[in-house]
Amino acid sequence: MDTMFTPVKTKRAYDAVYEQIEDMILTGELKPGDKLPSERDLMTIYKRSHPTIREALRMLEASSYIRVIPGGCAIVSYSNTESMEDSVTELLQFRQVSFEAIYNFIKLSEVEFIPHTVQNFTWEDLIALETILNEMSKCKTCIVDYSEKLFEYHLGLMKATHNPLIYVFWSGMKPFWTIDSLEKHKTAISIKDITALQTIHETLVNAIRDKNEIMAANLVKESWENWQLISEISGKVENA
Amino acid sequence: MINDHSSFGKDFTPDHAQKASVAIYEQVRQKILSGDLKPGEKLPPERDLIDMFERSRPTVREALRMLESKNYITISRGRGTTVNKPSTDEAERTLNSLVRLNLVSVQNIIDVRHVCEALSVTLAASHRSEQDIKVMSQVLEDAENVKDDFQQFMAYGIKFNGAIAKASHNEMLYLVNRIASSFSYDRMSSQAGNITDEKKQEMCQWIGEQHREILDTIIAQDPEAAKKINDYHIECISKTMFEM
Repeated sequence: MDTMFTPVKTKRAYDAVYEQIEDMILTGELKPGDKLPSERDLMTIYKRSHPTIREALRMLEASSYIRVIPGGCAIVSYSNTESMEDSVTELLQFRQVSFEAIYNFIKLSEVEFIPHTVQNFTWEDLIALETILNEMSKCKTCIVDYSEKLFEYHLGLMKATHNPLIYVFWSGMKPFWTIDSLEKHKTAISIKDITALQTIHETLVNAIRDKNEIMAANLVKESWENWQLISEISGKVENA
Repeated sequence: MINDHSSFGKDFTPDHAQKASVAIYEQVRQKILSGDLKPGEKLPPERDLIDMFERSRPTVREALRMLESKNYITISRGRGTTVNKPSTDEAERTLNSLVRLNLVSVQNIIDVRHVCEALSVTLAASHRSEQDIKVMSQVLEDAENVKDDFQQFMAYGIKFNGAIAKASHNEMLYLVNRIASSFSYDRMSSQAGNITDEKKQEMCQWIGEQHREILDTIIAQDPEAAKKINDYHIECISKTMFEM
């Protein structure tokens, strides 16, 4: 029986307006910087009430398709991947994904993505990585500062793959890589030897520069061996 | 100096003061994300919300509608407003937009699938439970029954990928796989009009066979074989996606 009937979902007017404008932006009919008609004109165009139009605009704004400038004029935004980064972060928060899951995911997949970095990096990527490494070398005594910077560095490694989808997932995980959230997830991490880890990463950037895929992959693997989950040390994995 | 307006207001930035409805939306959203409000739980009646937020009915209603359209809540007449279960829909939708805006390419998605599904099948082959096997087998069996319906068959493709990712027992990996693979199947079923019925039949045939082989290697707890057949499977899928 339960396959026979499904809930009836009706589209609300503001959703229809939202989708029409979204479609115009996605197809390029409306370009970044373009002005949308005024609320009053939209009311005439769509033959809908003021609240309906306003809600559609608020939703477009919430999805970062448009921004409303003072005076009430709506302008089509320059598109970027931020909206997806946010929805990934939100999803992880909402589903209460454990820190172990995120940590293990990065540990396992980064080594597989690093060949893309070696193949696609630009000189700007390298300079950015070196800059972060330099900052890291200055805060080797503070594990909190160091691990936060370290995530920036890993983000840089993945940005250099020039695959925006990889970057989106890594950015989405970023808010979870803070000492606050580690404690919230009732686990903690530690680095066995910061000096050794720093040396590995410096060598890794050189391997990328030399386009040595195998060496780069080995170094990524080695770098993660320097990490330890406290729950691993104590021998039990707590599920958040 | 008095007439020189060029430097006047240089330190001012546009006022981004939040609208009341957006502020309410944010408050409720945070409560849902933090788990203070759990899926299935009911929100107070509209009248009470108006009192709590000290805002007018249209404002509160606008906030609720925004929450509804972002899939956080379901508003139903008579039964009140309930908090939804978290789903990957929003992330999938944004990925779709990014592809349409040419910010993410189909190749980018295939590259992510390649890595993450390989990890998934490898981990599933090592960690799968008896229950996981049951779920994966059931999905393939159900898919077999709808082989004549291309759209439905593709929907089972997403389910099968999801079941494998679940069997990897890494939630992060599951989410990444889910988002990337549903894009591929959505794309294939939305472009189904471009191919002949005969070709569709053929696709269902080989996808079904390859899925079966992947499952067999997972049951046999053979991570290497699982990775190999899955790599081949993704190659076939990506070739088809580019041909469509």
